[in-house]
Amino acid sequence: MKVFIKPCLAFAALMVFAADGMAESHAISNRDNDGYKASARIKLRVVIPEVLLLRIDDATSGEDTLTFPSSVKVPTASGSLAVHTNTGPAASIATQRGTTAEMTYTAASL
Amino acid sequence: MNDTRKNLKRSVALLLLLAAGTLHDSFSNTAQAVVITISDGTTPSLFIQVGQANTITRVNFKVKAGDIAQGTPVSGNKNIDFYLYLRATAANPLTGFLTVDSSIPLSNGSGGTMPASEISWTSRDGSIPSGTFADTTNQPLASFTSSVEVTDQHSFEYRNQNAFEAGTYNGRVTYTWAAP
Repeated sequence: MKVFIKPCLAFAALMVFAADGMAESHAISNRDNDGYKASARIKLRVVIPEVLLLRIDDATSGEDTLTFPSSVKVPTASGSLAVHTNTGPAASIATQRGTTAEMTYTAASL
Repeated sequence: MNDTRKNLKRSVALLLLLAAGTLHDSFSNTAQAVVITISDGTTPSLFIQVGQANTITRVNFKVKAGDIAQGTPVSGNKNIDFYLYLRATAANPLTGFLTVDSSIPLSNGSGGTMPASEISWTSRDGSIPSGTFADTTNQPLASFTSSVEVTDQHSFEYRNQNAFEAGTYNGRVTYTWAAP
């Protein structure tokens, strides 16, 4: 009994390993009713950061240099404060009367 | 003696069951296991590999905070290699069609979705031409007549033209290589 069963069990284990260990990006033709067919997949991931836009209107005369803080804290739904970091375009922006300076702040978690 | 015969019969039966399972896997549509094809040289065969073998390759796009929805394309972090072949006899040639299913949008896991048509690709060789995902199940990409071996490489871009809720959007697209 042992002589025959052991190789069979080993063969079965090999088949299970092959089925679980291989993925779909590598395929060999399958014959079905419509002909020969094989498929392969790729994954796509797009990360959109959470951003605050801080906008300051310059109402003073002459040229000003507006300096923005390096980070800001924003209340979250849970009541804690999330730190958003200054991500540009610059730490300070030169403006004229009637113009607007914009600075983006991005959540640290992204 | 009788025991030996019984053992032999049981072993043969088990092997036949395993072989039947293997054949069933070979003829199913979703390729997810090793399939060993023994060919006599006259049986048509086709093959496709997209990205790395034995895994599902992922292309990542990370939008910079100041670039969101500004129309500045965001390049993927890696290019994807394509390798396909279709073999058939000259007497009975086949035409293979490469299509892509991008009908399921990317999801951020909290209800937000992004259509795959926000992503385009550029072909290095032109064998599988440049294009944009069409959000459909059966978008034609290219066709070739046997016997043929095709290689190409696609570089992907997130078009970054529309505003989406912040988050990480994941999705998959499926390429199908078929010779009806």
